[in-house]
Amino acid sequence: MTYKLCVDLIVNWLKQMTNNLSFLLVILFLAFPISILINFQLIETSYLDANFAGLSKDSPIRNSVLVEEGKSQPLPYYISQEIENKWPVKSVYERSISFEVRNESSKESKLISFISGGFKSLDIKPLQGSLESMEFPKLGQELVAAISYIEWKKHLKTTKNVIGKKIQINNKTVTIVAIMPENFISFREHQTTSFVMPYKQLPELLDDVDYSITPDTYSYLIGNNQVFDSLTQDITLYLQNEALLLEESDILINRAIGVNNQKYLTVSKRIYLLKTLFWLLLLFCFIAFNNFYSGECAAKQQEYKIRAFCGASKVNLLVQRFLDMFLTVMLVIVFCIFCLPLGHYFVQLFLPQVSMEEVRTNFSQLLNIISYLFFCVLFFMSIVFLIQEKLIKTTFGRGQSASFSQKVQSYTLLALLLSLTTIALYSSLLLLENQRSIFKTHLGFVDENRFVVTFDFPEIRSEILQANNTAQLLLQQLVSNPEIKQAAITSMPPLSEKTSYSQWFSTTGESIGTGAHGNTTEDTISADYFTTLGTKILLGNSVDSLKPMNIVVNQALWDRYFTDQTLADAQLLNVNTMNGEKTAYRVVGVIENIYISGPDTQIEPTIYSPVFALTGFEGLVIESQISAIKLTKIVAKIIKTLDVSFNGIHIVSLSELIEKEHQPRLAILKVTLTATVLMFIAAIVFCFSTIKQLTDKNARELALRYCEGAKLGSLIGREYLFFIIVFIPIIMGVVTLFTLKSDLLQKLLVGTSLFNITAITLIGICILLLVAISLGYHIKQKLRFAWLSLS
Amino acid sequence: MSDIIKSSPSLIEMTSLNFHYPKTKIDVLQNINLTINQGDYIAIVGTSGSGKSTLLSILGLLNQPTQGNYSILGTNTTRLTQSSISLIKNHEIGFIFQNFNLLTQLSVFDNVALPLTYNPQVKRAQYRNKVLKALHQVDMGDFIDRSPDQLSGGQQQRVAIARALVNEPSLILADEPTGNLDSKNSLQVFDLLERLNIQGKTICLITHDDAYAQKAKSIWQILDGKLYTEGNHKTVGQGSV
Repeated sequence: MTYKLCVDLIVNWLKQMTNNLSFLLVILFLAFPISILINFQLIETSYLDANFAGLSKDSPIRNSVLVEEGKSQPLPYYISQEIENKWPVKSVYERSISFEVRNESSKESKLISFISGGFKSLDIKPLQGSLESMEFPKLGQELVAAISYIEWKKHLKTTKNVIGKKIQINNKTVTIVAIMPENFISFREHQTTSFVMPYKQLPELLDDVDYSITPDTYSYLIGNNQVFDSLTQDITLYLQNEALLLEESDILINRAIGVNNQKYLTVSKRIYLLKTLFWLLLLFCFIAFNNFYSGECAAKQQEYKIRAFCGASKVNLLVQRFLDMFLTVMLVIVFCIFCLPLGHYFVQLFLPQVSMEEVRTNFSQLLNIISYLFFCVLFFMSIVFLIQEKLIKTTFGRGQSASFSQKVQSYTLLALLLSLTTIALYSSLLLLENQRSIFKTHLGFVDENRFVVTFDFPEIRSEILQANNTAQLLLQQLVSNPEIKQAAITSMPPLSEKTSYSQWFSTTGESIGTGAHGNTTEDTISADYFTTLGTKILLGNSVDSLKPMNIVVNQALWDRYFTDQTLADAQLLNVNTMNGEKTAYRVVGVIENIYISGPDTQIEPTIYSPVFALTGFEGLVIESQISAIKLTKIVAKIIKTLDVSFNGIHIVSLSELIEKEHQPRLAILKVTLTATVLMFIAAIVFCFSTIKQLTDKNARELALRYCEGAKLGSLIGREYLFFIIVFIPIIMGVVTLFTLKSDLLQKLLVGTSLFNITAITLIGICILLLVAISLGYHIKQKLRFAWLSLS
Repeated sequence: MSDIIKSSPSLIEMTSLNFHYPKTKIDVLQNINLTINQGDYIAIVGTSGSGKSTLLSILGLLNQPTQGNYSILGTNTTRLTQSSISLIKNHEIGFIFQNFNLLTQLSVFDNVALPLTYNPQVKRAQYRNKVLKALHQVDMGDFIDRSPDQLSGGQQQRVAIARALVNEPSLILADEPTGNLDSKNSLQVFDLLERLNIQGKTICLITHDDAYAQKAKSIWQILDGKLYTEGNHKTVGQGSV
């Protein structure tokens, strides 16, 4: 075995590859879904990798969330306690807030992480000092904190006796008891913590005796893998049986540490959906690749035989076989690597929620994936080659004709590919039709020149509840500004993911609403909310701040509970949750349905009641022609004059929110279209190449029949019949599988029927037509040189 | 190569050679005795199924005789290892087939250079000169970068002949080389073979066409696996039955 021979073989392989554009195209088709799947894997790992908290992949900690009506929240204390009693786990809470931190020399706002222990179990060892007092703080004990490594290095490295040093956090004296390890940056991704304090000491720092869990708190469980497996399986059912959890609610346990739960749930669901789609595409491309590679193998066998005549020994041929496979697999890998940035770009399109800049590329993981990929492709190629070697007999100078098994093999693969293409095309058409109707849906409001103003979750509730008459005051100040045309207050601004519920009944005692708990969606608004938003009042008038017992309902509620009634008689009963007393309210108006969470969500019966005092939870809707930045300054200035604790003002145009709301849907549409176009092009290429290979192999038989008087039509018909016999059971199987496993698609198709036999049949006929054209073309071409195939 | 091939006056020597295919007991070739000297040009003719191609496959070392001896340049091939057989095929034998057997995905140059790949004595730098020389011998020097698909049948066969010549073998085995060609191209191919013979190449041709067989120096007929001499119309071949 010489170096020269290897070089010769590699050069020959390169020359053959550069001339074999269709095979390069097939490899590209294979590489594309692989690169997308690698990108998904990297995103998932990035989400599940908590090395910023000094945790390894095997750290015995899991994120635990309560999911109600699609919204996630930290576990309530009573659920955590029940879990701790039933399973050997420790529940841990974490909240990160910025506070003013003062020492002798400086005063700065810094991020403090409040963690309720678990450091020992997580193997987080301090650089200096002890985390013991942080792990088990006692009531009335002095406030303690562990300084982060970065903070210590930046400010206190030269200070002697850091442990025991006193600092002021939120005007409270806190003693530093430890220095956190270097690898602990924060317990939240993309944040840098300066100090870590016991979660139990947070109420003391806030001076809030009635402190309860806030939505921005994260809850975790610390235990071991076996317990987590058992918990994941049984926890929801157990808590539901114990009447601690409602039927519609769920407890989710996952590995996402320090990431926004809602975002993680949305992204992981989307990734799951996309992964399923791209695994299907990969399967399709892989079948296509194997189909093409089978043809290549036949050509290779012929080549090896010629080489044997030219003096190649068995060892030479074995080396060449290995080199051919190795280089082809390497080419697949190289294509995958080249496709990675393209995949990156596509993933950005498909997952607009994910900022790809935040996704850390783990090179060792990438290397692992590539190694797996290498061996998988090599293994499958070897299998295909060996099968082909057994099946194919190479002949010299005697013409050739395809055997029955070759025909069945080729047509089965082709039928499988075309069946998958039929289903893919059908699914895409359904999605397109569905999205078209969603885009056409009138949302019940006008977005032009409208802005939605929202605020952060209020910090200290005891103060804000005292605010009074502030709603009117705020509105007066807002509309008096010449830049603001109209303004209104609402507790549920459109597309802002805010909801509020109360309990309402019809006069006949029927509970109003479709959501969980039998709760009713209630929006507290100011009188001019509908005019500001451009919503049509179908009957009657809007709410009036002077008439607190008058309410407005949406069309969905009116149609469901007040059919055949006049507005004058319409009443609803509100239940006081403290004493259960029912109060009658008069319905004074009916408005068109407002799609508060987007056009593809179900419209819930909604009650609109007048707002009086601001609590800090409200939002605003403003009509103005100025920019969001200018508007922010104006609103911030007005808010400052009010005695209400509004934090972190966020102003965004309604058009922008609609665009953002459309993004995931558009992304799904883009994915589906991309995948379908790829599949369709691949299907055409493979249909033509498979039939060409088969007619080449079958040239002698075709020519012979032609010479004996068979017509072109009958020759095509004969082959076509063979294909249809193979195709029909396969397409029926694929369609059955599709209808059985179509939950994913059903979720995306709101209000669209999934199974439409006419549409599937029509697409199937188009696909069959493609095969007929391909067969007709290739057989006709072959018959033009019929004599050469025989003589 | 000198390690394997001993110097000998006769190029090919077959004695009492029999052959049957595996799983069959009928001898396709029976008691074949044949000697071919360097510079000979022999034609083997016979009806279909008489064993022409089987004899050629043994001559080309693609099959081993089931009985008897077969020597090339004095070396008994029955005792050779597979790698030695490959080396002899590469160095000493050039094959020409009825249907050319060119690799369509490679250019004319690469097709002709194929045997050089397995010849350790030829360096890559020498490829171009050797290929050009072989192609000039068959008047195809101007087609070096073409693909076989772009050539006519006659041109493809000449490229195949160039491939058979590129390693300068002692023996050229041609199995129905004009089977796929028209009469004009067939004549050109036979003229070429004749020219090569004059230049000193030993040629063993299999054909069923008597007219073309007449171009050989000696003709052998194979009938039911037995080899008969038909006559030496130019030079007497050293063969016996």
